[in-house]
Amino acid sequence: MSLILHLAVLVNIYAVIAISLNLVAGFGGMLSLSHAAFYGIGAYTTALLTLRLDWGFLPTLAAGAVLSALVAVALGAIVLRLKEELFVIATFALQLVLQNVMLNWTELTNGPLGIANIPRPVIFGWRVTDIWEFAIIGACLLGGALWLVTRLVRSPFGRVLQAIREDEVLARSQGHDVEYFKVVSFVLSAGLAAVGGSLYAVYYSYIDPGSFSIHESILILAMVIIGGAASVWGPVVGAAILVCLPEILRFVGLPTDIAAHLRQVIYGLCIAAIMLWRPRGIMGREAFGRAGGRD
Amino acid sequence: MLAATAVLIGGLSLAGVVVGSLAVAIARHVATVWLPSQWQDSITFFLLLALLLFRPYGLLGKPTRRTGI
Repeated sequence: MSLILHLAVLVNIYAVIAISLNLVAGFGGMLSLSHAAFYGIGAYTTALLTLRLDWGFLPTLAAGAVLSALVAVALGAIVLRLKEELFVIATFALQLVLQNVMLNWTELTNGPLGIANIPRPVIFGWRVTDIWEFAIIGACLLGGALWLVTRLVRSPFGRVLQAIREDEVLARSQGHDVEYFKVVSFVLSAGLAAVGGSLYAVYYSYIDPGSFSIHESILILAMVIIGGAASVWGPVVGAAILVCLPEILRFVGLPTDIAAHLRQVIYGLCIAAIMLWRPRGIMGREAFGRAGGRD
Repeated sequence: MLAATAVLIGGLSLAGVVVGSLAVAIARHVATVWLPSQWQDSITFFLLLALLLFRPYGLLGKPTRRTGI
């Protein structure tokens, strides 16, 4: 039972992050590989503010989102000028630089040793300790994220964002400020990813830079692609599949050293299979990026 | 990863690869004069970012329609 609840919390955390990436990669058509860094910024902000300044959980959640958004404003304004594969490479480099900062700024982040003993969150006097309480908080955050993205996608802002994905030149010729839309969606997405990071930090009560590596970015992107880019529920499905799959493999009874490698093989096979038979993802309606679809 | 960075920095040609590799190597080691050596990777990828912004086709590459400008 506690394993199921643990998986539920993990799915909630990853679903929030995948939803935030979907805003940029699915609806905006910008394949960002730096999402784990923003998720890490949220986790580190929450950890440091609760440990050193004794803040409550909700203020640290907000602070993490704001800080991550500020970093995204500064960096997004630069990297979003690049197109397509150059953007992918730039966000890849960005991810490596940001993780390197987490690893090497030892005075603040304690470097590769990570930050341990992050206290349990307190929300309006409610001290969260049990795993099912974390599942409830996670579900609330996930619901909030889903609501936000649904509203955003149906709003005029979301319409223009999707128009930019389909044809940037056309959107520009209609008088839309393409850079503004890209930066705003990138910033919103970074803030939302930080919310997932905050929950991760208080749930595990230990974080280290290894959890926010490029592999994590790719895993999150895989969730978006498998679940279905540019669909609201797609990332949730993708997160559920990629979080639960390794746990199911555990019950098959393979030795752990084989199972660990097999996990990578299965991620790869999943993505390849999805690309072959359902290029729009399990829940997706739009083709991913610009390839395929109506051309 | 460093090799890929070197290729991207130099540009996609034989001379570009040589120049890119030299640039990456020199930058990584000269940087240790001012910064502790664990920042080497940051320097390398920061260099890549800066280059993508100003010369997305690499130091010796030629601008094409794909890379723009």
